[in-house]
Amino acid sequence: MISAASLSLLVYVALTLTTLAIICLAVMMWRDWKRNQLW
Amino acid sequence: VAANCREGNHINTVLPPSIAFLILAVFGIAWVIFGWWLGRNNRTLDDYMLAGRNVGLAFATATAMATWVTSNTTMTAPQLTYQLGVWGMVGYSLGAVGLLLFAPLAGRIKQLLPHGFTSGDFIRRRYGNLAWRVFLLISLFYALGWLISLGMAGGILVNALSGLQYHIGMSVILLVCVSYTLLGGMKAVIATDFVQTLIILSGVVLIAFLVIDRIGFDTIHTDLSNNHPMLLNLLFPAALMFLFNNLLFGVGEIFHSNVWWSRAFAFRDKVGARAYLLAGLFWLPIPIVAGFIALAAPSLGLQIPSADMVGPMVVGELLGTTGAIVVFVVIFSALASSLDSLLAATADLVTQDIYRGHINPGATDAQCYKAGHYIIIGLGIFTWLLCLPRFTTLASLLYFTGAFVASTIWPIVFGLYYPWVTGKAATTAMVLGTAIGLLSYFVIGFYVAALVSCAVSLVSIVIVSTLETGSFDFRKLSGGKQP
Repeated sequence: MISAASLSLLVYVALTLTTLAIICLAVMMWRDWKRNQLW
Repeated sequence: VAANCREGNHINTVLPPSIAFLILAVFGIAWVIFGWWLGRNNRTLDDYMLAGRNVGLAFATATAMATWVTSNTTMTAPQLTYQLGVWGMVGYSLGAVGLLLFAPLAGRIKQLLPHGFTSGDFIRRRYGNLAWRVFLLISLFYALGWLISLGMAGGILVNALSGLQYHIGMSVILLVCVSYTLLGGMKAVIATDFVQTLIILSGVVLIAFLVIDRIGFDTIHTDLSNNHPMLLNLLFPAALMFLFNNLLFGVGEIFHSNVWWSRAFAFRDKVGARAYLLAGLFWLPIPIVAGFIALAAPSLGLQIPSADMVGPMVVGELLGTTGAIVVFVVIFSALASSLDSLLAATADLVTQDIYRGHINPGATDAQCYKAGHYIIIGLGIFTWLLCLPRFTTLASLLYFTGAFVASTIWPIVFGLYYPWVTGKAATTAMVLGTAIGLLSYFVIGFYVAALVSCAVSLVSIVIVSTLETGSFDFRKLSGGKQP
């Protein structure tokens, strides 16, 4: 059985990765736009 | 939880129908205007079907990710977590494997077929007409099954969340997606996918944070340990079985479907592999974040009428109308981001492989450009007509497409890398894999269909290729666009 600590670790890691994905996408968009490489 | 139900199918809805309709209308109009604006400079078939074949990394990553985040990810991940526990959400997140494994293939596809349009193009040039036609049957059957299932899911989810009539929700979602795909082509699909990705990710993160803040891990864990200990069990056999079949189904879906191939053609040189890799990594945690929400249901003492409603009900109970609006917008975005991609990619397949490949072999790009518009409208009407009677059995078609799509994994992979695989071997692998996979679906169960199909396809392709070894020249793949 998974412990409360492991469950919270799993969810926090997933939350952190998802938040990072949002930031990465925004940065990638800004970079592509700046270099005129969107399309 | 508001009690707004017109059809009487769901006693507990989380959002008043008037607000739901307003959200559909506002977002719908915004997507259509955005789609028209993006498509205003489309001139050529490449512009319309493949966004000019020069899509950058940000759009490329977001569109691959958003398309793979369907209503299933946002609704089924909580449902599976509620039914199968921790393995449900972790298992679902392994759907990312398909995207990760497709990354090297995307690079290879762009390199081998710089002028290709569809996955059908590859099969025809690589394996000949017979394999091409078998592949088209599989691919179109899967695409139409997925389209109908998404169309129906739109109506059913809107009805379940708000009580708004099934026909209204389904028709509005289809109309919006068909309109902006028609007006803007692949550019509209990709750019709306980017915005929809940000909405989906921000929505699930916000909801998960609020669930943690309002209830907390200790309470959730204690309540689950006392009332539903199986959900915390890491040796849950049913969950492990589901996980394995789901993984192969996902790989088969991505490897063969023109949804993913058309993106490989549309992305700029050297962007495809990186974009699919990043999309897989970014997608990986989403089912865990979305699924975790369901674990809070026992702590809230909720009576869940059907497991697929657990996510919205938890949010509605915890966060009231504001939370319900967030869920509704997230689910609408998830639906639209997949429906538009599927419409565009299926229209490309029908235009290139059916219209130019079979009906009008001498068709020019200009004729195909025009035909592509009619085909999108036709697909929209076809889907709407089949979704209208709400035959849920039609949506279940998608479940046994696992046997079909898994049979294409090896013909695609071997065909891209090994010259010794012949058209006869690929055709045999697809036909036998599908037939025996389907048989196992009905004789044994849904959870083995993709697995059996994939295994039979592998054995067939190896045996037939050993009996008759080919020596394909990969340079033949890089020719012009006429079938």
